[in-house]
Amino acid sequence: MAAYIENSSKAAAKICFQLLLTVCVIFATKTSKRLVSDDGDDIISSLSLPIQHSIQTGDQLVFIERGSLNFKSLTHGTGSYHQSSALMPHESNLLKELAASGGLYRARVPTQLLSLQTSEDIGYVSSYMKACSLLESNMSDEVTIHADQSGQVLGISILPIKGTCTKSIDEISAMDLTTFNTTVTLSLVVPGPVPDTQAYLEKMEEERLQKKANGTDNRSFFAKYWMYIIPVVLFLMISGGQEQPRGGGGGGS
Amino acid sequence: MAASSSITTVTLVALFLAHFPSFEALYEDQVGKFDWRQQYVGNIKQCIIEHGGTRRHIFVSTDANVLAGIHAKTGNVAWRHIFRQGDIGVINALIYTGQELVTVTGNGFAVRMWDPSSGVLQWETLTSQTTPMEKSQTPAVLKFNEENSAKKPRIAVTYAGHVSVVNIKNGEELWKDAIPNSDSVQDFLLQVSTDEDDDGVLVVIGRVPGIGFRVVRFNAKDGSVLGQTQIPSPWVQEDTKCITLSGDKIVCADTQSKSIRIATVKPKQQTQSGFISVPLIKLQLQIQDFRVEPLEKFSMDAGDHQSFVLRLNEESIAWVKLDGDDIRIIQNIPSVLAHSFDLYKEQYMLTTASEDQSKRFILLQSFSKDGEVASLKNRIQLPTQSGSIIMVSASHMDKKDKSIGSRVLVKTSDEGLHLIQQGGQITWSREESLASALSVEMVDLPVSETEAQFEDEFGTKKGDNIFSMFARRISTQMSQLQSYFVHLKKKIESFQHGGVVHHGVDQLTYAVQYESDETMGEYLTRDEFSLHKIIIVATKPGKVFGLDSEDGAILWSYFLPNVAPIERGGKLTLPLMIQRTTAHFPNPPQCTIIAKSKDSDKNVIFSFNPINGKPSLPEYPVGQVLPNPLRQATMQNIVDLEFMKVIVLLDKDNKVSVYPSTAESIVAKNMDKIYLFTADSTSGALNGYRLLPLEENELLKGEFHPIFSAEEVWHVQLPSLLQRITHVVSKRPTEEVHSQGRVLGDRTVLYKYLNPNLVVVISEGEDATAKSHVTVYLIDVVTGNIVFQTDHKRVEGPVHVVHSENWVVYHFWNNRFRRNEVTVLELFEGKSQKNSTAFSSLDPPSAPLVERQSYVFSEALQAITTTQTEKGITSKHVLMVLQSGGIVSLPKRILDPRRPLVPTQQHKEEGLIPYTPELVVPQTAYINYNQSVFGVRSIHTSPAGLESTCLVLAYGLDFYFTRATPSNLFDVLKEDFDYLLIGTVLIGLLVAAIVTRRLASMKALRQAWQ
Repeated sequence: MAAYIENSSKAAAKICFQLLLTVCVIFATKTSKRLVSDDGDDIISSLSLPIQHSIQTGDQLVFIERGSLNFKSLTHGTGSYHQSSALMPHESNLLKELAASGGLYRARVPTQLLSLQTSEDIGYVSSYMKACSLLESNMSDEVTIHADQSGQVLGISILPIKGTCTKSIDEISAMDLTTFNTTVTLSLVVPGPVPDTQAYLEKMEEERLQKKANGTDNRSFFAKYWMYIIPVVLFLMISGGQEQPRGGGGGGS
Repeated sequence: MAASSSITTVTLVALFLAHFPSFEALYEDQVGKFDWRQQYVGNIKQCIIEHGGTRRHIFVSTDANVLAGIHAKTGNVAWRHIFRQGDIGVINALIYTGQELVTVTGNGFAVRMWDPSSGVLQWETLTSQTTPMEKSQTPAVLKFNEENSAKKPRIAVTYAGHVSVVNIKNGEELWKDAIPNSDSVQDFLLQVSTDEDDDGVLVVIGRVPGIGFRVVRFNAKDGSVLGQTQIPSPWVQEDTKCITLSGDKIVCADTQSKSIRIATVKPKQQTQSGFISVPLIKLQLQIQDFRVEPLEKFSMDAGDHQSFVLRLNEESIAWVKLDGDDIRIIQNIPSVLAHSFDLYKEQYMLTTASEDQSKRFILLQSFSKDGEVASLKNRIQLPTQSGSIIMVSASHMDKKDKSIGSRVLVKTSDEGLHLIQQGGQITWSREESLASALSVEMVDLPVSETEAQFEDEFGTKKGDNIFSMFARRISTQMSQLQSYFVHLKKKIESFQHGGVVHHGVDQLTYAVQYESDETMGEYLTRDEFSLHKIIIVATKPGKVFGLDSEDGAILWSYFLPNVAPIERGGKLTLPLMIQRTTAHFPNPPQCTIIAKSKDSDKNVIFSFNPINGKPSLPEYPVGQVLPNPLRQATMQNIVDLEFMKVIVLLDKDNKVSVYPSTAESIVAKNMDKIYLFTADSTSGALNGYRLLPLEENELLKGEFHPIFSAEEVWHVQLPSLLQRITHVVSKRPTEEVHSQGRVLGDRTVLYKYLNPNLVVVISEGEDATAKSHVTVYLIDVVTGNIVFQTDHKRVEGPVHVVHSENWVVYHFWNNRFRRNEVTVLELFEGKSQKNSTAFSSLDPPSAPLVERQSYVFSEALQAITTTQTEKGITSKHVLMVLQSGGIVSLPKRILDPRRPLVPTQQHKEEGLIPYTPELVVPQTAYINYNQSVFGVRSIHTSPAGLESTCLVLAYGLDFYFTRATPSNLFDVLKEDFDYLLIGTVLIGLLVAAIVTRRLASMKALRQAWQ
C-alpha cells in the first residue's frame, strides 16, 4: 500500500514536472525567437540534445561526444547539427578501422529533449548503421529524433545517404574524415485520423443546395423518365407474348 | 413529384450498391458443406447431473463464465448462456432443486432462475442497484426451505455486507438486511435452524481472522434481527476452512493444532460457548494438509446427518459424522483423487475415483453409509491422453430392474469431460480444453504414398540409370491405377449402402474415433487443391490437438501434463511454429511448441509430427526443458540441410542457442542476417540485438547450450509512466505480396512500402490529464527506426489490429463520441522505388508516405485478421469477428485511406470509392450466415492450394471453420457448369468442320474438272 502511494505520488510528481518543463519550453522558445531575431544567429537554440557515438572496434562500447542537435522548438520539424570540434586524427583512424572491419557505427541521445544532462541516471536511446556506409556517403548522414509532445525522446534513427559498401580499404584510408554533414529532423507523434463526418455533412449539404439552385424540374413524370419506362414496357410486352416461366438461378458462386 | 423522383434515386442507388462490392452468398444446400461450427463451454467449475423422468441434462458452470446444459446421452450442448467476462459474470453458485436451476453470479450481484430443460431465463433478481465492485467478496449462498416445507424454497445470498433472501419459485426478494458489524469480516457462512417457536432462523456467521466469529440471527420469514453474539476464536487464520452443519454446528479445520474445532451456535438468551477441539490424532488418521468439506455445496445436509468430509491429504478422505461433541468415522478411504456425494433414496452416496499404479485405469467406487456398494465398482480405461482425475460428479438412480445404477461424470486435468455409465462404458467425452485454445496453425496433408514414389523417380540416387527409372515409373503408375480401382469400388459400395459418410452441421463435438490406421492413412492424403488440412491447436492446459478441417473431428491429441502457457504482459501465449511442412518428403513434417514448465520458470520445447501427433523425438515424450528461461524465441527463414526452419532462442542472459542444434553451423554462416528484438510491456523498452559468436572458453558442449551472444544494437524507449505496450504485431512471414504498387488514374505507379521488418507496436494508457489514449508506432526492428507514430486521444482499448502488406487496420472504442472506430494506415514509398528486388533496413528508402483514414464502425469486435492466399493475387478482405456473433468479410477496398471525399476523374479511373465516414456492413458480408460465434479469442487464416480460396478458423469458446473467397471462385468452374452443352457443341462443331471440309474439297475437285 505504502509502495503504491509512493509510486503514484512519484508519477504525479513526474507529470507535474513534465508539465512544468513544457511550460518552460514554451517560455524558452519565445525567448529564443527573440534572440534569433535580435542578432540573427542560428546557433543559439532553445532545445539542444547532445549526441554521442561509439567508433571503437571490438566488443567494448565507448560512447564519446559527437556534437549536439539543436531544434528551434518542439513543433519545428527540422533542426541543425553542431559539431563542437573536428574529429581527432586518432578518432578518424578508429572510424576507418571500424569501417574496414565491417563494424557498426553507433549513436545515442538522452531520452529527455530538455536539458537534463546533469542527472546521473539518464536514459539513452540508440541506433546504428554500418560504419562503411558512413564513409561511403562521405560522412553525410540523416538523424531523425522521434519524440512525443512532452519532449521525451522515444527513439533515434540514423541513416547514411548511401547505404552501400563499395569502397576498398585503400580508398577508405585515403579519406579525410573531420566533420560530419548531418541533416537533422525532429519527428513528433502526429494526431490520429478521426472519421471526417463534418466535411462529409458539408458535402452533402452542398450537393443538396446545388440541386436546389439548379431549379426544380417542372417536366412531367413521363417526360422525365420515358427512357426507363419504354424499355420496361417493351420488355413486358415481349415476355408477355411467350409464356415460359424460367427459374431464378444465376449469381453467386 | 418530388417524392417519386427521390424514390427513383433511391432505387438507382440501391441498384448501384447491389452491383458494387461483389459479395458472394451461399445457396441453401451449401450450408454446412464447407463450414462447421463447434460449441464449447470451457473449463468446468461445477456440474450437476439431472436425474429421474425424462430429464437428461447435465448442468455445468465454467471458468469461462458459461452456464450450459449438456445432453447426457450425446454430450452435445443443449443450451448455453455466456455471461459477461470478468468478475461481473463469474458464476459463484449453481443450484438445482429438482424443478429449478438457480445461479448466483457477479459475486452475489444477480440471482437468476433458468428452466432446466430449455435453459430459458425464468426470473432475475439483482441484490443491489449498483454494479459490483472490482474486488468483491465471494458470496455465501444457501438454499433452504421456509417452514421446512419443500413448497417454499428460498435462497439466501450475501452481497456487500447485506443478506438477501429470494423466493426460488418466483424470484421475489422477500427481504434484505444489512449485516451488522460486517467490516472486517473475511467471508460469511450461512445456516438455517429453528427457534423455540419453531420459526425458521437464518444465521449469518462472519469469519474474522485472528478474532473469531460474529453471529447474527435473522428471522427467515421477515428478516428481523433476532440477536447477535460473538464466538471468540483467535486461532482462526486467513485461510481457515469452516463449514456449517445442521443442528447449529460450525466445524473448522485448524491446521495449526491439527484438530477439528466444533461450536454450537446458541439461541440468543443463552451465553455463547466457545469451540471444542477434537485432535485428529485421536481418530488415528494420517494427515498432512487437511481441510473440511460439506457434503453438499450451497445447501444444508439433508435430515440430521451432521456428517461431512475430511480431506486428509491429496490422496485420501474420510467421511465422518458428529457424535455429540465427538467425531465418528463413517468411511475412511485411503486413495481418492476426487469424490462426490449425491442423494439416493434420502441417503447420501459417496462416489470416489482413484487411479491404479499403472495410471492407465481409473477405479470408481460407490459407498453408502453402511459400506461399499460392490455392484457399482468399475475399472475404466480413459482415453490415453487425458491426464489425471480432478473432479467427479455422480448420480445414483434405480435401474429398470429396481437395482441401483449410477452415472458418473469425470473431469481430468486436461479439462476433458467423460461420462461413464454403469458397466464402465464411456458414453461420451468432451475436450473442453479446446475452448482455451491459444495458438492455431494449419498444416497441409502429405501426398499419398504412390505420389510420393513419383517424386522418388527423380530422386537423384546415384547409380540410377534410365531403365531403372523407367521401370519405377511404370510400377508406380500401375499401383496408382490399382488404388484408383480400389477407390472406385469403395465409392460404388458406399453408394449401394445409401449415402456417403459425411459429418454435417450437427457434428458432435466429441472425438470421432477412426477404426484403423489404414483407413485413416488413406483418408489423410492431400486433395487436388489442398483444401483439406489438419488444424493444429495448442491449448492452455497443455493439450495439443490435430483437427480435421473437413468436419472438425479430432484426429489425434497429445497431452503435455508438465507445461503451462507463457504469460507476457497479462496475456497467455503458447507459441506454435511449423518448422517443416509436408512438402519435404521423405522428411516428416514438424511442429514445435514453446511453453513454460509448470513447476519452474524454465521453458519447455516440444516437437511433434503434425499429421499423427507423435513426438518427433520419441526419447522426449513431454518435451525438453531448456537450461535457462527464455526472453524470446523466433523462427528464422533459414533452413538446415533437412529443410528444417531454425528457431533461435534468446535467454535471459542474452545468450543465444539454436534449435535444432544440428543447424548451428548454418546459423553461424547467416549470423549477420539475423536480428532479434524484444519488447517489455511494463518498462516500454524495445531492444534490438545482433548475434556475436561466443568466445571459445564460454562454449559448452551439449544441446541448448548457447553458441552466440546477443549484443544490443538499438534501443527505443516508449513512454512507460502511464502506458503499457499491449500489442506487438509483425507481418506474417509466409505472406505473399503479388503487386508492388498501385496504378493510379494517370497511369503512374504508387509503390508500396513493403518493409518485412516493420512491426506495429500499440500502447494503451492515460495521458497526463487522466484521459485514456492509444498510441500506434510502426517500428523497423532491424534498426529501431520509428517509421511512423500516431496518437489517438480519448480512445480506449481493447485494440484489435491486423498488419499485412503495406497496411495496418485497427479498431478501438472512442470515449469522446461513444462509438467504435476503425483506422487504416497505408504506407507508400512514392512514385519511384529504391530497390525493386529486395528491401534493406540498413539502406532503406526515404521515409514513407503514410496515408491514413478513420471510419465510424457500428460494431464491437472480438477478433480481426485478413485473408491470405497462396500467391497473394486475390484481392484482400479484412475478416472481423463481431461481438454480436457474426464474422464479417469486408473488402480492403472499402478500408482504403485514399478514398476521396470529392472524387475527381482520376480517382474514378483508379476505381476509388468516395469517402463516407461510416462503414456500413452489408448483410451479405456475413460469412457465417446464422451460425453465430461467441467468445472468439482469435481468428486464423491459411491459404488453400487454390489461389482464390482462403481457409478461415475462428476459435475460442466457439470454433467456426469456413472458406473465404474474396474474389469469388475465379479459378474454378461453377458447380452448375453445363459440360453436356459445351461437349455437344464442341463435337457438333468438329463434325460440322470435318463434313464441310469434305464437301468443300469435293466441290473444289468438281470445279477443277469443269
